[in-house]
Order: sequence, then structure tokens, then C-alpha cells
Amino acid sequence: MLFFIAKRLVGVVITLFVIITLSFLIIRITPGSPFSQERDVPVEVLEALKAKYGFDKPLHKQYFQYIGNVVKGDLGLSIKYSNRTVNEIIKISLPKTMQIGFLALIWAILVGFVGGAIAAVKQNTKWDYGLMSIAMCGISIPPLVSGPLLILVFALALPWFPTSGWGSWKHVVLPSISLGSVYAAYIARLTRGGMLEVIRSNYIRTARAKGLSEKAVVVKHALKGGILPVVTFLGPAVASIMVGSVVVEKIFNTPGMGPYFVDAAFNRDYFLLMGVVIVYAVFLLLLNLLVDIAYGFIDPRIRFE
Amino acid sequence: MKIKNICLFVALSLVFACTKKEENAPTPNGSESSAEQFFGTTAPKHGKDEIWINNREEPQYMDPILAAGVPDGNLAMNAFARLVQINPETSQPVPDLAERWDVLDEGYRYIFHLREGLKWSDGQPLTAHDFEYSWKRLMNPKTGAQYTALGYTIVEGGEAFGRRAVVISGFSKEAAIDTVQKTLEAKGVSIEKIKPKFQSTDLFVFVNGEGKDADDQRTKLINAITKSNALGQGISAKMADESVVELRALDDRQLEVRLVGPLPYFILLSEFTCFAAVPKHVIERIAKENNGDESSWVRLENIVVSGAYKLVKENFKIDKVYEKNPFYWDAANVKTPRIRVLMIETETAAMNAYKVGEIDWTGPHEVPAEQLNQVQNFKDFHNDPYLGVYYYIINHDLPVLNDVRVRKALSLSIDRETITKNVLAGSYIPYGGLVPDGLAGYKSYQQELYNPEKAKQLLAEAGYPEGKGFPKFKFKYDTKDIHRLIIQAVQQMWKKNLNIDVDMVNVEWKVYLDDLQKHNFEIARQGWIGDFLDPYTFIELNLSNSGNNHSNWKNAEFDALVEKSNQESDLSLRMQMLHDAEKIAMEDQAMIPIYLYTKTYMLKPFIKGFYKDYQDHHLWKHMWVEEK
Repeated sequence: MLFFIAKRLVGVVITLFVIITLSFLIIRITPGSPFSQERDVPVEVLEALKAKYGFDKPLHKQYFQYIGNVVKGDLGLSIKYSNRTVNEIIKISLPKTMQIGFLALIWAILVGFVGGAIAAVKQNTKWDYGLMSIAMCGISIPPLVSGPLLILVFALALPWFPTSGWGSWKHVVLPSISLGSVYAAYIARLTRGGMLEVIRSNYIRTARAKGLSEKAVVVKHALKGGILPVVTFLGPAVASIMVGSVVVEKIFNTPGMGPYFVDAAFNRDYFLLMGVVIVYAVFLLLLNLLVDIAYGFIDPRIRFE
Repeated sequence: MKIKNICLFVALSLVFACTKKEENAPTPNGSESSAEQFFGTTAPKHGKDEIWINNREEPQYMDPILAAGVPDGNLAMNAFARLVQINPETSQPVPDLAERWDVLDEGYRYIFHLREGLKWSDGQPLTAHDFEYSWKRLMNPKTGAQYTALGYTIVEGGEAFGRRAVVISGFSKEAAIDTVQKTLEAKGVSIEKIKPKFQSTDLFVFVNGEGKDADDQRTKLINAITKSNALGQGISAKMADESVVELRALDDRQLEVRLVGPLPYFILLSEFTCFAAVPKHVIERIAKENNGDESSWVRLENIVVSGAYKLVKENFKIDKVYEKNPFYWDAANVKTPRIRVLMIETETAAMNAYKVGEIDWTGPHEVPAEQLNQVQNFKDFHNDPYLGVYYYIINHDLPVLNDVRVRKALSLSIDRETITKNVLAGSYIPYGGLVPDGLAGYKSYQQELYNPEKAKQLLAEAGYPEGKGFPKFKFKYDTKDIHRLIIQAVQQMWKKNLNIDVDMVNVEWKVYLDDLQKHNFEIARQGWIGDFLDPYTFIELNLSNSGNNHSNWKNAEFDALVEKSNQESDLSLRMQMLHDAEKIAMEDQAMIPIYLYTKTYMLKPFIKGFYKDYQDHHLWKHMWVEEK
């Protein structure tokens, strides 16, 4: 297994390098400059600004310098937030995004698993139809709709939670629910589908024939097999949930990392954009690796070789 | 059963929310009873000793000299004092850090007298030397200030320093500029212009080119003079440094500045944030500690201010807390001890936060257009005049649009009233001038707004009767719904009134800015917010040599009038000259004005000392919370 992990890690590093290189090039060939302004800025000032960020050097030199800095863990200076480094901005914003993401994930998994399992066990009953209808609504109602709706009900009509911002546990609740609801719905449907497939299989029939209780059959055997598709889904889902949602964080004015994917691109804040792309890529690659490892443990048919 | 209950609860909550809004909504005509109603809560969620306001976003720059956007300016103007401030009641300049100023040499020279005992927020003395340092720092291109030209174009010698001219010295008497230019050009130097130094035989030489090319030209020039003696023995050349700027501290309390002309708007301009003093002792220490990088001097742990409020706490992109600066000269009259500034980025989030009392003022955000009808009759809704014009620019290099009859036809066929009323929910004012009215007694020249018949006739005279043969051109705009909606309306008006077709081309903001600079458009939209309370801040847009003149409209008579107005010290004569210049621009349809901006915002009724301001500048030092 160690060899498998080491081999995959090498792959992760190579993929990451390709992602950084491609992103660097795409960002740089995009028209528009970080220093474009409505007001005419004298050439001499533009030159000074370019020199400050090293944009006066040839592109290949900038690239190698950037790669060198990334290897050292230095993601550069933000252009938009002039006295802050990208490392600092990510250090401040990522934990906030992760708090929301973590809570969203917990509630998505809990609700999704339980709902999906109940629907599968009570297939074709009112429980199944009811839960799956709710799940369908969850998938169909994106945070763009659920966010403002939650604010309308739980912050404006019933002043239980703040409308936006950051500072207390109350600020985390509504964004987490909004963000997690879509994932909860997906997980419920995947769990149900996975379990239904497993419940009809021979080894479950064997387990029942051996005289195991229904509870033991469901929890010990059916659920374990049923969550395989969920685990596949969770890898990339966790990665995207943990680096933040542009929509949710904009609606709730959360000072997290999500909005930088859009704002840094619009502002041509080259280093900040590269920084968040790298963080996302690292999350995605490592979580996919974790999913592959988890598969080996959950499904005995899969071997690391 | 439980699910049913939850559904019932959510449904009831929604009904409750909607019903509550209905109850609060005023009658459409704003009758007596509705006047008593407010959109948001009316009691503060905080004590009398603080105010919560919105700043729209985390500032890009906290340094007042670098501050460029509205969120930057709002924080900088409250933390860093200038020599002059604007009286919020009269809009006239009154002393701030300077207790008075002398106007000498017919308006060419000013001496500011600073108040006695001024101090920075760390207790260090604040002197005229700090101002000399700060203003020269503004003009220094290495500082990277976007407003650098605002400084160097008004102070004698400033342009030479700011644009890195070469100074030629050693002439025994006034040199013949033509001869010098010819001699240097013969040596292969590409010269933009040569200007004599004030009260000196020295010359400033400005070279053509950018970046390395310009540097090569400068080196070639200096070598031609110092090594090849192109201008004879004893003549030397070097790069202009800050000593060439005619700005100096005469002592700790007197600052002398010589202007390039008797610019009547100089005092108003000196109130602008970039003319604030910055603490030399702090900036130089930080630069020394960080290998020359001074940018962290504005961080919480380092920042030292001269204004009414000092930063005491900051959470990046969440909020900043400012407290009264006890060292500010007028601290006794600063009414509120603490200001909490929140960074609420979207208009809707700001409205929500305002409604429940999380902020007392929506700040730089506009009230969203879709909410205007809902809130405009509430007592806490405000719509004030704002120093800005929204207009369309025409690329005058294009042959079809270079015909004034075509430009006039395009302008006269736009029903601005319909746009402001139906597209913009009545928040802005239809306008037909280049300069907003009411600036220092200025009366704007207004062109006719809407006359489709005349428009048709003009287009026919230009050779396109009923729009026949008129080429389809492209209308470029940046990605924002409001621009799209207005242009769609204009597109229909042009089709209906002139029978001409226009394609809409939407590009992203930074690309749009690049396209404007490169004149890569046919017709485009633009908005301009004045920097200071003088018509010049708008008139300047159409000068032939202005970097902000994207339309490439050039008119020698206009340029000459504006230039003359800058040399005129009689205020009413000057205003007449500027009015005449505006008339020239409008009669030639240099651009197509659409509407005047106004500023919509929500403000809690318990906030007092909040004055309407043409520039939307609101100093916190005047505000306080009134308890019932």
C-alpha cells in the first residue's frame, strides 16, 4: 500500500506542476492588466508598479521565479490588497471557508446517509417518496435561491441569525445549511441507490439466511456496500466544499476564500488567483488519493495493486 | 407528521415575512402616515459612543497618497487630515491642519501656516516638513500613486520630477530652446518637449518613449551632453530629482508652494485625500526594516495618523474599528468615540444588514434598483445630488461618427427621461451637459435633450435619410446589468427614431478599460465622478492632451479657452471661459451626456451630523448618535 501511495503522490506532484504552469500561462495571456484604471495613470507610475511585482521581466523569467517561490512556500504579493501577501490572505480566509464547509459536510452526510438509508430500507413507501422528493428539491434549489430564502426567513422575519458577516457561531449556521443542502440531497440519492443495489445481492440474502437481525444486516452489510458511490462523490465534493463557494460566501458576505476565484480573476490579481487555484488543486488531488485509499478498505474487491 | 410540521413552519414563516413587509410598506404617494415609517429598525443596536457604517469593501490602499477607489478614500479622509477641509454646511474650504494661508504673486504662490502644536497619533510633532515630504512622495512615480499627476501637473517643477525629465544646467544666460532641441535631436535623442526651469537658466528635457526605450533616450541625452559636450563645455545634465519641485517647508509651521499658474481650484484640490500628510518618521523606519518596502506602514501595528480617527482593530474583509485620535487638533469637537466600519460587499447584503440594524448607514452602496420602488417612500431613504455624469463617448477617428450632424442625431434621438424613469426607477436626472451644475457658482451649458424629428433631419442631411446606408456599428460596454439595460433602451430608440442598427458588445471590466485607453471602440459608455468641487475636473476630460480623453475629440479653441481659464484669477471671468469651453464641446457633441448621478442610501434616523455632500464625502467627526 505504501508503494501505491508513493506512486500516487508522485502523480500528484506532476499534476500540480502542470496545473500551475497552465494556470500561469492562461492568466497571463488573458487581455487586461491588473493596473488598468478608469483614470489615466502616467507611464512612469505603471513602470514603477510593474517593477514592484516583477512584471517588467520576460515572462519565462517570471515563471521560473514564481515556481521557485511556490516551492519555497511563497505565493507572492496580492495586487488588489496591496500590503498583504497571498499566503496571509489564504491563511485568514481558508479557515473560515473550512468552518462553513466542515459544518455543511457534517450535516450533508448525516442527513444524506440517514435519509438515503431510510428511503432504501422503506423502498416504495411514503417515506421513500417523501424523502426523495425533498432530496429532489434540495438538488434543484441551488444556494443562489436557498441562501436569500434562509436570510429572509431566519434573519429578517425571525431575527435568529445575523444577515451576513462573520464573528460568532451564528454567522456559520445559515451559510452551512445553504451550502450543505445540495450535497445532502445528492448523498441521500446516492446512498439510496447504492443500498438498493446491495440489498438485493446474494451476500445480504446470505446474511439474512444466517438469521442476522434486520438492523445488523442494514448497518453492518448493506450500508457499507451502499456508501461506495457516496465515497466516490465525496472526494471532489469535499475538495470543492472546503475551498468555498463563490455564491454562498457572496450572499452571506463571508470573508472566506470562495469569492477570490472570481474576484481575483476580475481584478487580474495574478498571484492571488494562482494561490487559490493551487490550494484548490492540492485539496482535490489529495482527497482523490484519500478516496482511492478508502475504497480499498470499504470494498474488499479492490486491491491497491 | 414531522415533515408536515416543518413544511408548515417554513410556509408560515414566509407568509409572516411577506405580511410584515406589506404592513411596513408606505402608501405609494408618500402620504402623511407613510412619512412616519422607516424601512429599517429605528433604535441603535449599540451604545451612544459608537456608529456602525458600511465601507462596501476592504480598501485596496490604506495609504492616503495611494488611495484611489471610494472605499479607500472614505477611510483615508477620516484618518489623515489635510491642510484644508470642506465645511459640510457651506461646501467652502476652511482651515484644517493649516490655520490660514497666504495667496501671493497673483495666485502663483501659496504659503500655508500650520497650527501650533500639531501632533501625529504617536505624539510626534507634525510639521510643514511632513507635508513637503508627503506631496513630493505623491509626485514621485516610484510611490505608484494613481493620482500622481494631480500633484505634479499643478506644482512648478513637479512634472519634471514626476515624469523623470533630464535637467540641463550651466547656461550663462537664457538658452535658446529651439537650438538646444535641434542639437540634441541631431545626436539621435527623441525629444517630447523642453521647458525652462522656474527663475533659472536650467532646462527640463522630456524624452519620448516608454520604459526601457525612454531610459535609453535619457542615457543618450546625458551622454551627449556630459561626454560629447554637445552643448559646449560647462554644460551638465542629470536626472531631475525632488529638489527641482518648487515646494518647501520654510520652517516647522510654514509650507511654500509655487504653482504652474494661478489655478483658482488649488485650495479645493488640496482638500483631496492624496494631499494629506503621511508620517515620514514611520514610513522611513518601515522601509529601512523591510529592505526598502514601505507598504506595511499602514498595517495596524505600524499605522500613525494625523486625522480625527485612528485605526485600533482590523479583521481583514470583515471590519475595522477606529477610535478618536486624542492628538488631533480638533479632538474636542469629535463627537463619537468609536466607529465600526464593516465591509459588506453586495448591495442586497447591505440593505439586509441595514434593515435589522447591523449597520446605521449603507455607505458607498447604492440602493439596488429593484428595491427602489419598495423603499423610496420610507423616511430613512435618501437620494442626494452626486458629482458625476453618465455619458456615451464616440470614437471621433471613425469617418461616419466624425460628422457632427450624425453625433447630434444620435444624441437628440435618446429619450433620457424614459431611461431615468423606467430603466433606472427614477433615481437619476436626465442631463445634457458635460459639467454638473452648482460647482462654485458654475452654470452648465445644456444642449437640447430630445427631439426625434430634428434628429431624423440631421441624419438625412448627413446623407442617411431614414437611416439608409448608415453602417451598423458596435456599442461597447462593460459587464454590468444596468449598462446593458440602458443600452438596450437606447438601441431601440435609435432604431425607432433613426432606423439605424447597433450591435451590443459586452466585455469584461479590465478588458474594457484597456479598450478605452487604446481607442478600440466605436461607441462606449462612461461615467465620471469629479475629484474636487470645480468644473475643471470634468472639463479636463476633453482636452486634446488629456490621458482621459478616450474619444480623441480635439478642438484647438476649446484647449485654448481652458488653458486661458487656468491663468485667470478673476473667478467670474474664469467661470464664463469654462462655460464657453463647455458650449464648444457640447455644440460639437464631443460626447453624449445621458444623466446626472444621484446617490441613494439608507441612513438611520438617530444618526445626526450627517450632511448631504456633492462628493458623497462624509466625515465621521461630525456625526453622532442621538438618544431618544
